[in-house]
Amino acid sequence: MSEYVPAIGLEVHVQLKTKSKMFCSCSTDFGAPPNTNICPVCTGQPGVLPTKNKKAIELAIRAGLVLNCKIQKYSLFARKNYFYPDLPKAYQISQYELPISKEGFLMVGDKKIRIIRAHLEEDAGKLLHYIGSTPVDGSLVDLNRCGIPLLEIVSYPDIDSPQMAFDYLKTLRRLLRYAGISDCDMEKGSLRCDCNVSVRKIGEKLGVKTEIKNMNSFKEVKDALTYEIERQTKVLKEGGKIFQETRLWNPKQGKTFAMRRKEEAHDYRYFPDPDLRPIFLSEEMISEQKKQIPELPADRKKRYTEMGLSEYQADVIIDEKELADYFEKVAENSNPCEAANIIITHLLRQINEKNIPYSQIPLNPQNLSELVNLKTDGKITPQIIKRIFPEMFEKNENPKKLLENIEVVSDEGEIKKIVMDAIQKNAQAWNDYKAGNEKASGRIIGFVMKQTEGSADPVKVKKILEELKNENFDS
Amino acid sequence: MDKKVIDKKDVEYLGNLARISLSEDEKEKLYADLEKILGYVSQLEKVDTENVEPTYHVLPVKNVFRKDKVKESFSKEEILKNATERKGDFFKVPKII
Repeated sequence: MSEYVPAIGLEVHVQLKTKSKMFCSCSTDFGAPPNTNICPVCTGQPGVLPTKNKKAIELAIRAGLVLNCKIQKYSLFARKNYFYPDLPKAYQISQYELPISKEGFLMVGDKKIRIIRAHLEEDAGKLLHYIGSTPVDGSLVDLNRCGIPLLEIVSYPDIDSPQMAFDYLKTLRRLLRYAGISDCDMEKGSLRCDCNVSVRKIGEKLGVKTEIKNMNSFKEVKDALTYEIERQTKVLKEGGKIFQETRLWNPKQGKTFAMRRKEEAHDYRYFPDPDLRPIFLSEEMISEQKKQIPELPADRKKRYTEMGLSEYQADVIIDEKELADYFEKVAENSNPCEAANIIITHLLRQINEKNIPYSQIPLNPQNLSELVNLKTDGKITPQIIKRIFPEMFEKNENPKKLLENIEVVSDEGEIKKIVMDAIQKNAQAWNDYKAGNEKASGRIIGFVMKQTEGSADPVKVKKILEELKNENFDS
Repeated sequence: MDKKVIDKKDVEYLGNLARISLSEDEKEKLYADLEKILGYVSQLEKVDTENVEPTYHVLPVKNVFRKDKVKESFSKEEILKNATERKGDFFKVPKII
């Protein structure tokens, strides 16, 4: 029996980086007290008129450009009608037949994921069912998010594994962050993702899909897809049928559950919003946005690998624009490969341990390039770097100054004594090394470094070891 | 006479979507109105519009944009006054999950 393969399409909503809402001048500030950023327009009072936020339109154009979409010179807002307490107007202003951009693609590694469309819409409010952990005897509505500009990016079902969905999301987030279009912060609700997934036997046409919602992280997207693909495959193998339905991911149980199928839930009766005139985009507006696009992650990665960085190093460095900018400042005055190496091994470790945002790295790039230069000039050992780095990072200290306090053992006579002692205490390793196992020397060098707290010059240690080997020194 | 463009079930369906309850009399009246409106529309549909651009908006005004500038929002109290029920600074609605 042939195996089942999945087809996954993602619908990603990102919040466009504007100060004010899509159709009114209320603030988009995250974390404001409930119902403080609301006005007659975004709460749907009778007789109000929406007005389009220019910045939101510009960012939508820019997003269309970086997603290789065709930008539509003429697009239209439509009303999507449904009743829900988070939507006071009982319709969401969205785009339907004529979205602002369509037919693009995103390269995820070597794989091209096609984009169906990217359209503008407004967000709904937030519903609360608990205060703290106490359930409320009703549902509470906060309309601060209502009317916040969103861009919905819809992909074709070109994604063929949960891992690829994860990579697509990471690539998309990185791209939109670089281009200043969205913060894409899932915790703050500025990125949300729904998945459409179906399975089919290889060579057959697409199967019946389900839509999964309620994932709170990229990892949950991956987990939910993995679960859902297994579920669908099992149903089909047992001769069952998949129903087109919406399913909710339950992260605690690690399963998806069918939502109650509401009657007529999908009859949105879209129609052009008579309150909003169409958007006509001029060549100038589009070319202005082209100019606003900075060097994008894929181009940076290419440039960094040309500088000599490995694929892995380049991937880590470009992950966040701020880190890449920092790297470039360090690499201006030092060897790029060694700089990347120290950033990845030491700097990122400090940043992760102390949970510091990339924009607030205390160590300035000049001090770090000095450290890199000391390393490439052979004046400092990896052990010493490890020792001084935390202090250097925290206090933004010049490495030379910190080295003054560290005694480096470079007297060969003294090192030889320590090495001989190390050999005696690691007789097996020494015999292995003498027998031709180069790697065994690592254990002896490690022992020396431990004895000297990393202050012995490793080049000299290695040299002495070789000399002793040639003398056939006996432990 | 053209074929029927709407039947009574459609009226009930629309009422349901709009969350309004309709009496039998109201259904009859709305059915008659809708039938007339849609009859008129089906007459319009006969016109050849092959080479005519659709009119999406009646005013010839283009691109009225607003600058992305925050203005002070409305008084929260004024807006919450319109709520049927409130709890603290939230609107309160019947439990939905």
